[in-house]
Amino acid sequence: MQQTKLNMRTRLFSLLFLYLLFFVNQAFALLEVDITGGFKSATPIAVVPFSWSQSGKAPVDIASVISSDLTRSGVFSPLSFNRLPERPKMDGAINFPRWKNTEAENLVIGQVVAIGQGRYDVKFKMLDIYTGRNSLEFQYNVTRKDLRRVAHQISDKIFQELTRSRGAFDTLIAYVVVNNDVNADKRVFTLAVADSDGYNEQIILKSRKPIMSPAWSPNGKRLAYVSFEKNRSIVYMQELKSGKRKTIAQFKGINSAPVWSPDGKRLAMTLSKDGNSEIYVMYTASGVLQRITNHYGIDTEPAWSPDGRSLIFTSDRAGKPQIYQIAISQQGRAGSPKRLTYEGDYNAGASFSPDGKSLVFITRERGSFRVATLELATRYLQVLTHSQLDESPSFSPNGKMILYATELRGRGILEAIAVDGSNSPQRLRVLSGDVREPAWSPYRSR
Amino acid sequence: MSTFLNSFFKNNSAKKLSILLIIAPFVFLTACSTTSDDSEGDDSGADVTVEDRTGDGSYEGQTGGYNDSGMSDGTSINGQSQSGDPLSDPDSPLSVRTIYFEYDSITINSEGQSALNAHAEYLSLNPNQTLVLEGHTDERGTREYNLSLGERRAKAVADFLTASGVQGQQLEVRSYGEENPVALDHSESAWQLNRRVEILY
Repeated sequence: MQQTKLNMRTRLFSLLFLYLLFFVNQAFALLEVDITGGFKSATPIAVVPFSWSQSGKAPVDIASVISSDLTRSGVFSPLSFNRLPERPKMDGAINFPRWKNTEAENLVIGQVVAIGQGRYDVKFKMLDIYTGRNSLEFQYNVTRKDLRRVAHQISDKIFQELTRSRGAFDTLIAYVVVNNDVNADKRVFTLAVADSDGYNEQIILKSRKPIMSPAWSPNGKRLAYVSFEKNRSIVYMQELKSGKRKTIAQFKGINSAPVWSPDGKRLAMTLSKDGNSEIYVMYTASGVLQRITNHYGIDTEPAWSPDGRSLIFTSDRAGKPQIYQIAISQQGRAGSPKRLTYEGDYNAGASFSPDGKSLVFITRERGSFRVATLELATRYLQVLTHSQLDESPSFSPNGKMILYATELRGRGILEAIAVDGSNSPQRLRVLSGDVREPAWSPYRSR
Repeated sequence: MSTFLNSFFKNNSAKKLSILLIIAPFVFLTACSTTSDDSEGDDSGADVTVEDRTGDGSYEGQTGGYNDSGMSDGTSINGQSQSGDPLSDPDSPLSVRTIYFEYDSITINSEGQSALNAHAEYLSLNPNQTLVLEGHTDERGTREYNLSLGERRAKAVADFLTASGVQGQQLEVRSYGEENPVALDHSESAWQLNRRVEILY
């Protein structure tokens, strides 16, 4: 086991080194994937290192990116490269009897060809080892900076073909990093966006003051967030491509918890301008504001249902924080709040699954704050984690994973866990500082 | 699929994957651009750097700068000493500038009340004096709820002061929720110190 771990580290460090060499002008983040165990019942799959048209190493080791993606999904366990019986080329012969001696049922082969002017031709195919038939075959023509993205798109195709569920590898995550110096004046808060595997980190905002609550627009082109750069909470909306930013809410009191409506036209958020924390909906183009809640208790953490016809939110109107739902129309509030959670004395920070059938939120269980799901039809509440200080849970765009922030040995890290429970979570952390408030992007347009 | 996943997750025990992002700040300098903020109002002095990001996943490569200097936090206590000013007398009850709270509570304890009585008296005698009441929580629970809870604590202090004769316009309420802890441990002793309202003259 130790040997496996070391090999994996060595391999990944060399990957990282490559990454630094080639992407040094684009990003400032490195990754270490530390795999300390194997998935016993994940489906074995063979991903052969892609052939490369020139001498030396290809700019991106596409097969390694695909293998890491498939491993992280928890659904597949790619054979390690040194256990492959042969390394067939895209158009070469395949010795199927040798492949039948491996555990793999499917074989992925590909190539990268430099075609000049900084462009690359990437081809891959997947074969069923038992029938010898092609199940997938695709070709891409891209620049170097899009090679990793192509690898994630190939992972999505493989995932979709073999599980019949859409893959979520070609997605982004937004998160906040803070170097939590004891001296508040020395803290630096960073809002960043990275690929779903943590690579290609891009900084969106850096500040000496807290940054909170990043939220993706449904088209994936904007983030709304809360920044304290003027010494109080103000809601901003920022276009990722241009960096252009707009102040959305800087009313007296709290301006927080922005979330986009599914139609992309409205932001639900929490404002305390009228006395205490209430939920409002704002049309971002016109600034028209609709007040949704009206209660002396705290109402906050709104989240839209996927159909856009209701909001769920946290309220302590019954004494302790619980999740409520209220109907919403284009004109604003369209009903009375209905309580959804009854188990436990602390349920907060809820959001919907993409199919609208479940919620994920933070529940307090014996003094610990943990990720839980509630199946709306059956009212079945399942606690998914065993940690103490979980926060900010949300579903992946395909609804298969839940991403959340937690604390491990004094450090803020991100974890991802499968929706049905008990696997060890995958971990993402920064070398120096705490990472928190992850927000998984919607599917990206191709 | 779900059956498959179920069987997988029941059997799996040893899988652990961690990803480490290593920050290399020197590289980041190549990836900045200046803030483009079309909001109304005064943005001068906003000590932030907004980054460009192209839609296909890379920067345009413009350089700019995350300027380390010149950041002010705007929350420091005015410590200018004037002889005879009770605000700068360490033996005055006015030197108590932090009110602490129990978990998930906005109740001001007797210690906090006696400190606030001294502040109320001072503020009543100095009606032009203003202050900021900044509410904070410990890290437990969700961030946005804690932001609201911090405001509720600061408002509880404001209500106590106005009930003691302070004018509302002398007071400004702010909340940082759990975002600005004074103690960074994940322990009850740290949480006690972080559940607070700071009185900032």
